[in-house]
Amino acid sequence: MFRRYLGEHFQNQQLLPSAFQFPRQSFNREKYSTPEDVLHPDCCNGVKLSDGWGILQCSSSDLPSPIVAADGRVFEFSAIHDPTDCCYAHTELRCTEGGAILDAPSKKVRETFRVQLSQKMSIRIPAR
Amino acid sequence: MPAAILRDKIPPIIRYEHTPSYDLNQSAFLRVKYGLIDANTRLDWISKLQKNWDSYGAEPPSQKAIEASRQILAELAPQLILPTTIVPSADGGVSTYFIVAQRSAYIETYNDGSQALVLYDRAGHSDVLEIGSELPVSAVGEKILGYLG
Repeated sequence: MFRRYLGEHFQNQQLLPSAFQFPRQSFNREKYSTPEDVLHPDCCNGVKLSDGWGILQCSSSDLPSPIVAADGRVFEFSAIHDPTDCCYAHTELRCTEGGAILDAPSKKVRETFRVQLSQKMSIRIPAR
Repeated sequence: MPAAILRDKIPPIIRYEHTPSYDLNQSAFLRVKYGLIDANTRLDWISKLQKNWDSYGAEPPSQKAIEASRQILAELAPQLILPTTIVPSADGGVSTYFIVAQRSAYIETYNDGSQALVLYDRAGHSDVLEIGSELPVSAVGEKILGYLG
């Protein structure tokens, strides 16, 4: 899977967790996309990007899942192919608990996921 | 205005030197003074971001988030704690980072003004504390210094 990132979200040799929103982080599925496609306006809601963007890569099998909260609740994360009108490769990460989609788990779960997700990413093309 | 154009107007990332010393000599005072000025300048620019600044639909940081970030920085400054970097958060709000070698801490300030302190290392260990309910604001600096060493 591929995703674009802003250069300022890569500091001190690490991708900052702040590069990811929660929930439903968007990626391009590698099966249908080249890395560079994530910078194409069709995959950027029509926005033509300027300089300063790079491309991240990770495998869906590397997603940090599950995350177990302190109270024992178990949150699963998975990549779901979710084509849009302009970007067939669009894929979303979804959080589920007991099979039900959950968009607003606790801050602890959200931040733990963002930290671990950022550490699963590798830089495919550095921001410049 | 398109996010891509707005991004070009954000000043370069300001880097700060983390100073884990309590030696309150004049140079430390000036370092904190000018570090705070830089941090507030950075927050001024971040406050001008508009929706979709990250091209994935991110909300711009709210005024509540900007002001809460300023307040926590002012709280930390007397302990000689200055951020490594301040960035807009794709989750909405502002992230203020303190990074030393393999360990990092950040204060996530959400758009509703609430805050969490996140401590993590490069091995994937992390701890999340909600500021206010789990960690008093007055204890945030000590927690950061204790973790980063």
